[in-house]
Amino acid sequence: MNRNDGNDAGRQIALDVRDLRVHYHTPEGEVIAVNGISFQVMRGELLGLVGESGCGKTTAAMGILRLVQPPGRIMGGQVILKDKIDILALDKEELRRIRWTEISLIPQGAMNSLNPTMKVKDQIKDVIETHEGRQPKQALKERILDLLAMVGLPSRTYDMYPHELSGGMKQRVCIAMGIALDPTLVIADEPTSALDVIVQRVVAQTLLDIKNRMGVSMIMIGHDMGLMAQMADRIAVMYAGNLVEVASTRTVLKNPQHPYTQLLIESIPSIKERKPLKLTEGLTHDLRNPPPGCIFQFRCPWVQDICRVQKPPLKAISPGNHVACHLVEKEMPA
Amino acid sequence: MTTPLLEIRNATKIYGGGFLSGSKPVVALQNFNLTLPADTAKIVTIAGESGSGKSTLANLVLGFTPLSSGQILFKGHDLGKMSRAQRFEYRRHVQAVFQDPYAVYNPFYPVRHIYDMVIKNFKLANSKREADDLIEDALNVVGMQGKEVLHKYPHQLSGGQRQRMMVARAYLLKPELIVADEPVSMVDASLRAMILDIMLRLRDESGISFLYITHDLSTAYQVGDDIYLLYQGSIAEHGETVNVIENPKHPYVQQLISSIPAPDPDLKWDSEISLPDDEEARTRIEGGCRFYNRCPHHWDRCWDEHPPLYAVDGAGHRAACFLYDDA
Repeated sequence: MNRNDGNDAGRQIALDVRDLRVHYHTPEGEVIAVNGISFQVMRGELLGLVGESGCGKTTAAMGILRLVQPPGRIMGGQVILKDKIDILALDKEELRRIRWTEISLIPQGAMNSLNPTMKVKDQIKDVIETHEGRQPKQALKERILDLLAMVGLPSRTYDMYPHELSGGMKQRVCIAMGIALDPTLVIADEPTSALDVIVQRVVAQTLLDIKNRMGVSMIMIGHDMGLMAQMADRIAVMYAGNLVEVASTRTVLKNPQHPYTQLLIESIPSIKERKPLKLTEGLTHDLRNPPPGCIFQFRCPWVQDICRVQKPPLKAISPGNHVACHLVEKEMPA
Repeated sequence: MTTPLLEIRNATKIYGGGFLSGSKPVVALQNFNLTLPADTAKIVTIAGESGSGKSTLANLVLGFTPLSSGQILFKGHDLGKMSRAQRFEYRRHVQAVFQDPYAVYNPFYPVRHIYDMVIKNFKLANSKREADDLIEDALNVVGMQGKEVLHKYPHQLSGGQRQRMMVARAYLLKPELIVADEPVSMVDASLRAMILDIMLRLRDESGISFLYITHDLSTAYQVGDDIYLLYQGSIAEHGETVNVIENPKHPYVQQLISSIPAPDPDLKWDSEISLPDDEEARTRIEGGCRFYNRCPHHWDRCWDEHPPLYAVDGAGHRAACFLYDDA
């Protein structure tokens, strides 16, 4: 089956996000950071979640993990893991148990999240023993060495402190921790954003390699469309708290449907041809007070009357491809 | 030949390694040469990855830190030997735009403050009306209007707007050179074009040259005239931007350009690359090619000698690699 064509019929759903809402409470009113988004991640799939700064992509991921910090609050929705566990309905102990084992996070700037006073082996050991209890020494060592090998790190890393590693190596230690307990889903928040281009490529290869070998599902948050083209199976595009398009990587890059996605694709600077610069204004409305109708209406070149009054739903236009735009007519028969 | 606008001769900057510091010296920039002509405005890109020395170069040109050896000449005057008054004059002609459009504003003042400070320091206007006109003019150049933004506080503006206003601030002084250190790396992708377009217009309409410091080769490719690619403090390759990016010669630059993720699912990275264990470790300071550890071609000669820049074609395209030593 060719996953790139967005044909996901018959595949198992790893994560089903339904109408997730996250608000931030501020003295001036509620900021609607995530405005009821719904999407699915299949088993073994890498979903890219893209959008510009402040669009809510990281907040959405934190919502899925229930890691939203005040003044943020999850206002509603369901996050269903493997068709059975609703993460948003779990109690504290149940939540603790599924973290790392079912769903793990590689945070933004992950390389700075390592404890500088602990050796790499002890940090990975912590993750394993917290969930699985004390382990026999030799077996644990082998397991950690296997994990390090899996992310392409030399075995001497085992006994090193984080400051002895380069940025790319630290990032790979974080990836090793993320997959240590064989989770169903890994959320990686800009996993390569602080790295140089060549190191970024090595880390990206590591992530893809792990995805293919372990069959783990991933949500990768980012804004680099080039990196998404290289890595993602499907791409979800967010704008001002809303999902505007969810489609296969090929569709998003070659035949984007939503005007915002089109703008995003057109503004990717190329190193193949010099082209005239595409000029646009930025976000034009206050997130505390979203306009009625379409969220993109102020920047949309094809805005129509209906866009100002009625919010376009995210509808399927072909298998696996969803767009929230009144102009995209061809709705699939249910 | 006329005196160049800016001439950098054998600039070297070494940090640390002082008598009492106890640390090894770090050569941030080594024997760097660059000439900007006075008669045509150009956007010259200084590109490289973290630790390549590109920001060190920006700091040297802006006079924030002194050279360890070498010279920087602005219209024939040595930056290191300028008097206070000459320095002040230099600052009028050489302005800066920085990376972080959030950190450069004082959050307690409306954004007009940054313009008032410049006008006051350089005594650009004799009356409030004159000042207003100057500011309005500068804002129009970046496609903004004073009455809409000047009374606002920095947090009320988007990153793209703030960065455009910084360009307008530099423009107030009608400088001859703007050192732009990663001006678009913290601006959203769909808004970057706006800043780049302003750079192009200032070059063409106002004759302002730019030193465009960046790690992002794709934006450099879109707007730059010439490019210098740095690797660990030395020039790896230099030439016209189009030639260098479309047809890179230095093994490092080739690897760098092939690693830029193409926004096209049909053009996936074709091969796996791997880095040596000490992937970002600096190689030896003296002698030898700095890319030795990572180079697929390395010979014994590369370990012993530092390759000078060799011409690879007639159009000023040069690469610091023994592969191009025809002698």
